[in-house]
Amino acid sequence: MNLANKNILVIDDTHSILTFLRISLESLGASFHCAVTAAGGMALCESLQPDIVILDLNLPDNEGLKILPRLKRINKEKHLPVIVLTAHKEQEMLTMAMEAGADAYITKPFIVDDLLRAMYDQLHIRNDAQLALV
Amino acid sequence: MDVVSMIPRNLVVAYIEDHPKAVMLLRMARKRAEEISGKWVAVFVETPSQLEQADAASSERILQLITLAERMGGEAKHFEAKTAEEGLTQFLEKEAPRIALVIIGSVKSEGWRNYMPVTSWARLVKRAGKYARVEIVRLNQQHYRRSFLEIVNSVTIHPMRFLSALLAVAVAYLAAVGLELLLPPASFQFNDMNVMLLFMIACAFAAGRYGLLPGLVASAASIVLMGNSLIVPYEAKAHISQVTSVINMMLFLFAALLISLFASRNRNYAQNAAKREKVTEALFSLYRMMSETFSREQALIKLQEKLERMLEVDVAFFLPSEANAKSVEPACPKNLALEEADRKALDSCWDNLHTTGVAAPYNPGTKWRFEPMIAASGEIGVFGIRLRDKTRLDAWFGRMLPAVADQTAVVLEHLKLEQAMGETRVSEEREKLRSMLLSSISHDFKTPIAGIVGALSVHQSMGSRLTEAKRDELIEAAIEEAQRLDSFITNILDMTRLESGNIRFKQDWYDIDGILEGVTKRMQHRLRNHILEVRPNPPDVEVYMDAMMVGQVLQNLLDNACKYTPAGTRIEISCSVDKTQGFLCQVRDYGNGLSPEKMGHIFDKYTRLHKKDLQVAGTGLGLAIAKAVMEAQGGWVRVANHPEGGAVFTLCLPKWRKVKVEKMQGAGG
Repeated sequence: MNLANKNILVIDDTHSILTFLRISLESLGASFHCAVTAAGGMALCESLQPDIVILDLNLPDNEGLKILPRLKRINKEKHLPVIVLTAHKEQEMLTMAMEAGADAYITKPFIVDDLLRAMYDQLHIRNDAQLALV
Repeated sequence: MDVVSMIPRNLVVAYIEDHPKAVMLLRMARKRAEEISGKWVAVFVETPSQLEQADAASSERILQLITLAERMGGEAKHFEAKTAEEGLTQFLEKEAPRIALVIIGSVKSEGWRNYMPVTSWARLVKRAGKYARVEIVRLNQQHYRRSFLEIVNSVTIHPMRFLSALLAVAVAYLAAVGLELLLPPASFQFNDMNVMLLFMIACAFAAGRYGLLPGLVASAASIVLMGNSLIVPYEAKAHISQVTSVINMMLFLFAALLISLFASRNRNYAQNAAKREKVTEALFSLYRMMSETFSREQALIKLQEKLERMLEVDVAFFLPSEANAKSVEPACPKNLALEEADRKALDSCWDNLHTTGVAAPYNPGTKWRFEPMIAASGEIGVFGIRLRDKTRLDAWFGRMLPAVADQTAVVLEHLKLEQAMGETRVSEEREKLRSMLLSSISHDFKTPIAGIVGALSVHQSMGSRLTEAKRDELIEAAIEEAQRLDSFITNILDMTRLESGNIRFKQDWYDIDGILEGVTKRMQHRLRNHILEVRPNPPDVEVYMDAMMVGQVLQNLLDNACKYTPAGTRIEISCSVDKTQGFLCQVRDYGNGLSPEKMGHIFDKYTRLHKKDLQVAGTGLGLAIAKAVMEAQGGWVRVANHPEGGAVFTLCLPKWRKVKVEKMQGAGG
């Protein structure tokens, strides 16, 4: 249970993605929280102080990209890793996300192991595929 | 070295008159200019007497000479002066230091002029000799001659002017009578002197205001009236003899004639100058206006109308035909029919890009004159004019035509470039929209695929650790997304087929209940978070439609209702029959309804692109398809907000029928 006691915030508006992330992350012992709008995500992030945020950039009106720097500034003393999800593969989008403060970048569609690997990286958990199944 | 000698004397001047052999002078001038490798200029002086007498043929000949001179590489100069000598002298004086040679034609004198001590050309030679060497070219032919009848025919009669002239004389007469009646005989002596002066004023006024002929008529009328007033009333006085009276009247007539002549000349001058200035100014303003607005067709129509009014000629524009760029077709007016000779002149103008037709060096003797329209990018078309009876052809006119043609070419080129730029802009816009659409569609496809791939990958990697319920949840999420993907693809394919016209409607009589049943069954999963209520339908009704396509439309409407309304709200379907409109089917939701702004565009393709609600996955095609499908079957789809909240979509199918009772009975039994 290598994600035990980790507070994970997912900001995405697609029902099926929230479903499989909830099932997978909870099965790894994490505490799963989600928001379907940018504003909701900001509010939840402030109150929850999560360990990591998974943010969909394709929220209405490009809100995802707009709130990214604000998410990073919520707690200045603690580094908050943010992994962004997007259907866009263009280099331009990646650069914009990185400039806005993203720590990792995953394009849709993706398999859950890819996301977990990125999360372990960011949370400095030993990167071992076997761990996921422990 | 003195200054004057620095200017090379290399200009050959040919003095041109309207003469059958005038071309000889042009040739000679060119030859002499070549010999001294200088330039040559053809000078034509228009005098008031020519202005008055000039007939159409004469003006044509002069214009032809001038055009020819320019084509032969010379320069054409055209002046107005009181006499030929004066005009030539003016020019020679100005250009004196450059002139090497003046060429003058010696004309065989005709009629009474033969008996004059010095002929007119000889006087010209004498004048020109003061400025440069003169070469005389013998033109062994007389001037063109016109019969008296031709001259009379060429004069335009304006009855109103004659009436006005007579009125002036009448006023003078009344003034004379009035003065005599009003003033006491002791202080005012009414005599032939003051009466004559009054009439003289009337004659001068008439000649200056209305022209030579009305002036002459006024003089004649004055003589008649004076005869009455001077001879009859004063007969009794006897101190003025009949002889004195007649001499006085002769003197009066002579003075009146002179006044009429000079006054009318000045009038001609002033009128011509004013007219030219007006036309030139109008031309400039026209082109200024033209280059700012209008499409090519509009521009040509406008231009034609204005030019016809200003130049007092018929105007036409010819442009290369779309099928064959090698020939030009009338572009404005479009239905212009040309005679054989004119057509040839037009083709020659377009092929060789030179002036043809009336008074031109090529294809003369036609009704039209054609000028090629050439702009920076090359030839654009042909500008044609047809002379009316009284058109004055002179150098100014001849030179103005190519200028008009060139200006028109510039305007047309400008419009063409503008149009091309517009087209580029439109195609850029289209390209932008296309790439936006592609990016939107790819996003729409990727979102459900992400759901499917994600859910299945969790099932694969961690399935063994998950409960049965969680595994089912994952599979269900994957199925839902797969269905969504399927409906996207169906919509896109439908739209493509509808747009290309490849879709075939299989219309027949159907019972709406059966269709609704199929749709609600298919949508069961999608509708699981909403409450669907299907109201009872009007019994015994069949509707003429393509059941599959209408089913698809209903599915799109229900899908839309699910997408845009909160979970747990109701969606209602109800059907009714309207005697005037046809069979109506309504889908009502209990959401927030539509803003007026959305309402206007909701059936547009890819409407979602213009909105911010990207959170709702879809291709933005569902409603556009609904509209296309309904309209293809002669019906319609509309949307409105329900007064109690929510949106109502109404489908209308115009053809419906009551099912026969016998059938029902039969079915029942």
